[in-house]
Amino acid sequence: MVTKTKRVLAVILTGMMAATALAGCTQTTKTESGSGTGTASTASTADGGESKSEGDGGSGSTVDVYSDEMTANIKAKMKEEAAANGGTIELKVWCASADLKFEKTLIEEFKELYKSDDGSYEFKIRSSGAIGEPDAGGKIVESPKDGADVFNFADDQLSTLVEAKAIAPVIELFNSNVKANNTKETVDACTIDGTAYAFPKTSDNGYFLYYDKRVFKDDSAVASLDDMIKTAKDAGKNVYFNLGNAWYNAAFYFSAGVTIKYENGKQTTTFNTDEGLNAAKAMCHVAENAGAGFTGSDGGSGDNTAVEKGFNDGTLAAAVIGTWEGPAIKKAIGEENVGAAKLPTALIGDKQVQLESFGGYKLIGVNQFTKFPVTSQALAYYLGNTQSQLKRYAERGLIPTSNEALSDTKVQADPAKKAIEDQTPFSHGQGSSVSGKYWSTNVGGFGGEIVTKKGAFTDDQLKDSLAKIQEQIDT
Amino acid sequence: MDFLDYAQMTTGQKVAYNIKSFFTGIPGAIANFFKAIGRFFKALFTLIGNGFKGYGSRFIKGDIGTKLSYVIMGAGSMIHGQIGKGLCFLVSEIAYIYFMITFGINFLLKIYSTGVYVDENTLVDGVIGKEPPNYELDPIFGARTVTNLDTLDDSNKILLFFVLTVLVSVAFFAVYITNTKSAYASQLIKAEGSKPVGFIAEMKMFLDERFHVTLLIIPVLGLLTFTVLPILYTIFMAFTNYDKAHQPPGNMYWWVGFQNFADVFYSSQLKSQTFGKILVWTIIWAFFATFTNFIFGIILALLINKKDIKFKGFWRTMFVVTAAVPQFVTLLIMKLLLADAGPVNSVITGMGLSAVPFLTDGMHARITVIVVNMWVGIPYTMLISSGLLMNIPEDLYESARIDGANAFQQFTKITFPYIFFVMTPYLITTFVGNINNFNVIYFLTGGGPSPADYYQAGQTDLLVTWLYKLTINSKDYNLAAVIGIIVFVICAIGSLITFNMSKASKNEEEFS
Repeated sequence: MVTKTKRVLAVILTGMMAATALAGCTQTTKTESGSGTGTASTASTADGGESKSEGDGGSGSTVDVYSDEMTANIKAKMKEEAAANGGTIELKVWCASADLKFEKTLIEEFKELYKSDDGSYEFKIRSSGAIGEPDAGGKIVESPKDGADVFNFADDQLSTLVEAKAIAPVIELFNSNVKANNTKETVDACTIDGTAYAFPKTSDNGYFLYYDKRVFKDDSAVASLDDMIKTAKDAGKNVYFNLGNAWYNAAFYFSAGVTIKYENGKQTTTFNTDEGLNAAKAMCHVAENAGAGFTGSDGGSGDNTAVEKGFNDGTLAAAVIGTWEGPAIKKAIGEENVGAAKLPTALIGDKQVQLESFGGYKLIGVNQFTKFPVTSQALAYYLGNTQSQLKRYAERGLIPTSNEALSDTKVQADPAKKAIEDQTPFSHGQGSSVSGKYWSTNVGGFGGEIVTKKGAFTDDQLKDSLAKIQEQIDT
Repeated sequence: MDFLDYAQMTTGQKVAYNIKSFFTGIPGAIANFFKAIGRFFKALFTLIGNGFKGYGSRFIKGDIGTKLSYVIMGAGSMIHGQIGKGLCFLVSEIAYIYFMITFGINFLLKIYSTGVYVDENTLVDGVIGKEPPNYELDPIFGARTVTNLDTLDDSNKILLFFVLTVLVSVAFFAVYITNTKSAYASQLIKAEGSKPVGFIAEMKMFLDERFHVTLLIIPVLGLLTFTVLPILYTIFMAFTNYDKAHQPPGNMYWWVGFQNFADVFYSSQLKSQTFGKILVWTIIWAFFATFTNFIFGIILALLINKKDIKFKGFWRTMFVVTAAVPQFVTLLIMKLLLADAGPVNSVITGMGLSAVPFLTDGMHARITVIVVNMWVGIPYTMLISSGLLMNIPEDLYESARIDGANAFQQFTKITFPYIFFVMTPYLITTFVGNINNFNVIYFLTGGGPSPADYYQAGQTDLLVTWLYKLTINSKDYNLAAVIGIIVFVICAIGSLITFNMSKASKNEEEFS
């Protein structure tokens, strides 16, 4: 009887929550929670397009997940799931091996928080660092039934996971909180076609500019790519920007106005247009300096090796790379000489245009095939909440995604964080831009060819290649 | 032309004659190959025909027991007094029926009927994508709370278990035929008035005169499970649309007929052009990789084997050390050395020359992989041919010297024919091995550089590395299966023809 009242109460609460959450919307087509057919999170598709309606209206009107009320509800659900599986909640968690020790402490906290009141279930959570963020998505897609229940992954894998229907949509209770607590760009990165599929964890997986302050005196010296190359050339050094990699060279296509969109399971691009040609010509223009002021490919050794080596032997003065190389660069040229900024502008068409980029986030996903859907989501939510993000920043130095955590003073003092923040308005979510096939297609190879030939291409050759690329990627 | 005419020709004429006869021999060899295939199928069909004939005639000539065993297995044996044997047959029939009812029939039907495969609109079973079965909204959490998704069938499972069921059925069919034969045989023995062999005595035969059957049973079972089953599974996959957009268990795939083959050969411009370019490069690569190693390996062995070379063992060991380093280590080191900003290029630019794009320009990369492969492969040929060289009887050379042959003549008349004769099968296996040489390409260039007119591949990709990329990167499993079949056909036909044409297979008895 008691649980029934609780449930009725909860239905009312959720209904209220949903109503308030959508108060700011122009359309209120949402069906009542509990009686609808689709997941509640699909409601925002009604708004169409990219614009996220939740914005201001949603924040502040969410249900407190950690209230006694809700905790009891979640525990009841856990009990149910445990009962269906022999009384034990057995979960597998995959995370980066470097983070394993830290994530284990969070998992212990989670176990404590949701400990069974009557001993009707117990947790058995095994965490492993064997499959890290770059590989988790692929492994899950390969055989979801053998995969972890909760896994950490980089956001480039989101569309692949969603395509394979191997990742569970975030359930409504947590979804509204995730939307309210994290930055808009982060929420976008977790969302495909209006449905949120993952819990954001860190926001520092994108790329921006690291530079040597001894070569580039101030921020204005790193404002335009052409100027930078000239300055570097005069100093006998190079600017590193890997055009042979689809993730980095997308900057040119985005800035030239090429559409790269992944919507409703369909990939549409406009590579084979004047904008595409402009972008390719802009790359050719930059690649003319290859070897003298500009390094446009990793030369077969991988980005990280190329950048570390370049700063170590003094051949690089600046590099477009992400936070993961920060420590190595600091070690190579001394912390006081390291500068970080958003990407420079590049000459596209006949104007200087700000280079746009792929944002990079690390996310937490829940396996669609888990035997413990609600428990897994609760764990994923816990690992990604503001408190956990702050602890993660303190322990592991990973920049958070939550508004509250970002405004924390310690986090704000980070120089790389400022560069990321400046670049964020010019960044595109990978999940909403590209399907998994984009990465294996020769977008990078084409960029690499431009660099190898130092931009010696005719317009027709470029057009031909762009047409072939579009043919391969579009579905 | 007989041997005398041949012996009277000059060296040039002989070479020309040999080359001519090699090429004129090709059509004959191919014809022979297909004739052999024809003979094989003829024999097969005769066998099957005879099988049916025997099956029918046994039924007609059989007594009630034999006739009964056509329906109830083992009945004939039991009636004729072989109780133990009959029981074994009966048990196998019951086991098979139980297997089919509880397991097999499900997959035999699903392969077509429940719509998992037929087309997109009739997907029924195991689809969780559009609308999960037992879908229900939780009043609090608002999402699915079903937890039995893992019990659903998916396309992979259905296809795999379908193949398994077919294999089990074939095996059962063999047992069934044996059963009718055995019933008839025991009937004949009984008609003669003697008693058929008892069960224990027959079992003992498996340890004695039929011991080979006992020995072979484990390898054959292993072969079926770990080779035949996966191969059949892969072949079936080539006729489905199992690609990135149709990955079980979230999505289902279904039959598309010969569409994938059509894509690879003509209907998709991008894929067929990529296939053409990769095929040509694969053959060029296999040719150079095989013969550069072969020729330089022999030259090296000859050099070391020369009389006036000192410390032979030392030199041989030195070269073998390159082979002792694991291949992938050598290759990764080479990759680092030859990188655009790597040590080799540092030296080159240091001398005032411009850097060489060893691995990042198509033509350069192709030459680089062949040259690096020589570094990896020559020591092996050197080892093998030094062994051979030491085995050539010294008196052959001695008599040649007495006849006034110079060193070059000795090489072309004695050494080379001898080595070539012994090493032809080795060359063929190396050639096939090089067609499938994954390591060198994968570790050195990763298939790159990759211009835009290659579908999921690069300029140094071989068919086999393309296959790898198709499965790992772009998840085009169906296309990869097609490539796998094509590679198999090329390797099988190529090696059978060349081996049949080689001297080693023609004159097994003689040298040169």
